[in-house]
Amino acid sequence: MDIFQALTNVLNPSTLLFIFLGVVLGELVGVLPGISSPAAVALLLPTTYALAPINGLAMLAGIWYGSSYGGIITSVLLNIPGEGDSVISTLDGYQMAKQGRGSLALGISAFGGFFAGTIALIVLQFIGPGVASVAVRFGPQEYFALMFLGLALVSWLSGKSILKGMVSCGLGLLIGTVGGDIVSGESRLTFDQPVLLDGIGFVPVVVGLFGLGEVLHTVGGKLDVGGNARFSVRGLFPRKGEWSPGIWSTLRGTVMGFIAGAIPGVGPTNATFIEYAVEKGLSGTPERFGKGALEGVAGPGAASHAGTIAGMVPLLSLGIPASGTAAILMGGFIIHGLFPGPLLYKEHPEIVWGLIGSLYIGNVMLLLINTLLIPVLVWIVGMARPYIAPLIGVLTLIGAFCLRNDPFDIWVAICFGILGYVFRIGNFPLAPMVIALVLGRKAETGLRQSLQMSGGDFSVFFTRPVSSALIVLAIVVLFVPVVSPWVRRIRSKA
Amino acid sequence: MESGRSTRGSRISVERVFGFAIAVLSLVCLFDLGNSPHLVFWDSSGPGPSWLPYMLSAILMILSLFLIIPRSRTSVSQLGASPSGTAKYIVLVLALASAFPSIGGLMSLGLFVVLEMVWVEKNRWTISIAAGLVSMAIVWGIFVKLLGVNLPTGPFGI
Repeated sequence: MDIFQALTNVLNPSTLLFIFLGVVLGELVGVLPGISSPAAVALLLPTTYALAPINGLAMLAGIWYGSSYGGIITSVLLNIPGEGDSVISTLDGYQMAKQGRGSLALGISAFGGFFAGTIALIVLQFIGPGVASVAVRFGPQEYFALMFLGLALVSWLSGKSILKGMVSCGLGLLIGTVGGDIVSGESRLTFDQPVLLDGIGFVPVVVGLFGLGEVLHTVGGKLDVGGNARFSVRGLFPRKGEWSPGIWSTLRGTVMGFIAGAIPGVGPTNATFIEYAVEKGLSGTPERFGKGALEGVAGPGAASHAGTIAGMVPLLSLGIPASGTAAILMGGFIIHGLFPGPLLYKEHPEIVWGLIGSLYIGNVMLLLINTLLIPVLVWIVGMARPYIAPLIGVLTLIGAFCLRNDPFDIWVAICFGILGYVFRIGNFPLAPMVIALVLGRKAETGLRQSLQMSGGDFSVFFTRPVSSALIVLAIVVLFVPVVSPWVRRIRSKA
Repeated sequence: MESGRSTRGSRISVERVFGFAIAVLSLVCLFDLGNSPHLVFWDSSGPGPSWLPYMLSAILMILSLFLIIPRSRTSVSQLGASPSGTAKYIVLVLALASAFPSIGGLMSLGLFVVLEMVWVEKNRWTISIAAGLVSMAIVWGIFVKLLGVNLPTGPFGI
């Protein structure tokens, strides 16, 4: 199957409708402060189980990358970043809006985002199968080593403190062990409660952590909508002399975003900050940054879109989610009995290529929405705000309940909602926990299969070059941030 | 922007309290695993079912100590937009979960929306009741009719 066949497969009314629904919901999530893309993907995850797999996955993916477009709109026009990866756009985008150039900032974001997204998709289309064909030869040692490295990277990079990342990751892994053992089937950590025999459901955990946890953190807050929300379609296009810096920044942002987005734990948000620093560093007039520099909007905007699409490379080819949202999307695959990873390309090519095809179509839809419907989206920000908190509560609780029709799952979602709130106020990263939860069982399978082959000898991981390299890299990733402050202290004393 | 309350002391206490909670959870898990003799830790073929949970509980126990021990360097944190709003929201969610099986899924969700909008968001009763009815209709349409979810019914048959 190739991309053209996949495109014809997804060009049917029902799939197009769900792609459209996804990107519009993503845009709305992006423009609405108080609800993030992982929360939205988590909240709508339960609704996809009754849909055809490609329709459900296309909708969830649409929410994911649609939100990165939507977030820039409120950053530029209202100085309110709707998403983490649009925070940096407030610096120059809002200044441009105050100077009457808000439409240009949004135009360069929309066209640059479309370009970055398309390039990232083309790269994904060619790189993905190559990575999968290498990974398909992996044995249990390599699989375990790969997941160990992924978890180490996410623990290290997704927050400011590796200790908190490790706590988050450890909790996710421990929660994943509740229920029947993967090899013997014997119950573990169930405390003699029959309701825990099947383990703790992924959906109640993620809707609680991301949906309820987020609303508990933001509920009751005031939204000061100020700024300069003027917008005109004519002003979207750069004038003579503005094209060149915009194009080069977009190109640099695309490359930077793709590389950063494909590395677990780095993600599009960090990519935008790195790209902003690169643009400022390369500029001959860095003093313009923060005062309405076009490059300060174009580069990070492109990095955000390319980074989001790049997150699909490790997810589809290796089964390693690079971010919390990717882990939730992986849950969407698992609900339908599909397991992202190298075999997915071979066993379900219609899903992989269909999803990539839907991303192309969604990208075109987003370009149209972002050039024609911005005033409508800005109007919705003001209208929908009072209804967000109760809506999230309803979606969380019914979403937790509906997969197994079990009220126990509602209590699970509430417990994890409170945990999600504690994580937010204590600045603990959520991504390692949810990624560990989704990868835990696979990692344990790889670990135990490898050790069974060697009769319990851990040196089995160093008998093959790929697993050796990955394990060594993971150990370096885990220990360098812990050891380096001590080394610096000793050196400064010496 | 969202308003937020920031204190240095509160963050230290959040970290420490969370550290204590993790330590207790780890101890409970270790105790449960210790009282499960049917679970093999290690045999001739390698690790058994209890090996990973034991290891993870022990690692979390050690990590929790680093959270509990006060450190000199700490940064400022956000307590959330409105702690009282958070507390009220938790009360409502707990009430909803308790009422869900007895007064019915749709009714409890509708009541949750109305009470949340009045008590937490300080909206007028009329708007809140309208929003409650609309959300009941949406939940019924999408989840009951479209997705076939069997919501528990209450005394009013909904």
